[in-house]
Amino acid sequence: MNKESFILINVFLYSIIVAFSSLQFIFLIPLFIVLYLEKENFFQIIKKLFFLNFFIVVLVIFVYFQNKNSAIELFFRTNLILLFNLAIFYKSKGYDIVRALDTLRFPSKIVSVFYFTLSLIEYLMMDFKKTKDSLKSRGFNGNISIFSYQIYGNIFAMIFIKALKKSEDMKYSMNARGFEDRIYFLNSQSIGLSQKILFASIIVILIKVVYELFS
Amino acid sequence: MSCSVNLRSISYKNEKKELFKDISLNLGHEEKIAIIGSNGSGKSTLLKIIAGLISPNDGYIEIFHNKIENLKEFKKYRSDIAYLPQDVTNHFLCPTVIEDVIFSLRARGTSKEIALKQADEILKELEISHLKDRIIFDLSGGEQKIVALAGLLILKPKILLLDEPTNALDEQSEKRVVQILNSIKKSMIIVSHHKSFIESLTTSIYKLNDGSLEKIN
Repeated sequence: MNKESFILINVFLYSIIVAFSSLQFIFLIPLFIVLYLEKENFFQIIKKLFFLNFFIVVLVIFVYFQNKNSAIELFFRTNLILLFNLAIFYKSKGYDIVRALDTLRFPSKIVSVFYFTLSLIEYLMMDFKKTKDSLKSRGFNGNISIFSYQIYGNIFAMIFIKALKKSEDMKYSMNARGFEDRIYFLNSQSIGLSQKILFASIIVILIKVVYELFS
Repeated sequence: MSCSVNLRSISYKNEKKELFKDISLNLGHEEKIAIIGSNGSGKSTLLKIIAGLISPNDGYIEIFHNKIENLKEFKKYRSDIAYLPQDVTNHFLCPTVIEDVIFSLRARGTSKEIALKQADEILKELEISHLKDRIIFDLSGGEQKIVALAGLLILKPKILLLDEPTNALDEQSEKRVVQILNSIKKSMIIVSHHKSFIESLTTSIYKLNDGSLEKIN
């Protein structure tokens, strides 16, 4: 097993525990460990969490009118899981998740689809950045007008067409290179001490939760 | 000179227009030829037809004197024909350089150990061993082209089909690509706009013009 798959298992276990058991302070231990490991990016992670909370707050408001306690619980659960995921995958470009899925013997088609989706997103993001730069250099200032919305519509349409063209061209490459539903990854990194400590803390929480459930 | 590829009266029409009609071409053993032409003249499409990626509307192709009737028959020549697309980002099927370079070997059943050994050799030969563990999207355009070439050459193909291999490269990267391609003793068809590049590399130049292919030197 490599580092990537070990991290994915940690994420899966932690998310399941937080989502399906009653909230406890002990759940903060693994979170503190990952935040400590990413301490230099702490504020960036919190910033990302803050933006994600716009959606969560809307959801919580809806639930609040039906059940106040459930709404508060929902808020903390989602934030715990999100913060844990954001911190643990902060430096990840997503490819290590694909590598982890491959190591964990997920079907090769799922791994390939996941990988190509990621690489297409990365390509489109790069393209979107270039489009934004050319809009700037051509003096476009987005405001509330029909013209601006037309431009945004055009950009969206162009990105969509480019994505189609790109996938068609990639299909040619797959044929030319003998791709048959499988990508071959190499195990990259071995499991470090910090991942082992994190795993141990999650296992302790899991044992506690299971014990409380049956006692 | 024995022939690697023969095009026999190839015609191709897309939804909008007839790109070329009744084209014939012979590519000899270890011969390097270039195809030039204006934008939209069908150069890349012709290369895709030779690579067995799209079917011509009319005519046929012979690979090593074997007539190819349909795209399925191309399958047995896939290891012999290497195709580099115009946009190399379309070529990459794996996240890191080493994983992508060994991809074609592993897809053909070569063991990981042997594939890695061969990849090390090819990366050393192309002087890009230092890029081995890098993420492909983080590389410069020139580095990506050379990595893509490594991914093709690892299969030891007999024919190389290169679509604009020096497109968007700086002078230094272009020189490096020319140096690499000059050192390779294989049959090659290169599509390019770059006159000095093709003159330094190829023995014959063909122009695709108004749907017909004519030799210009």
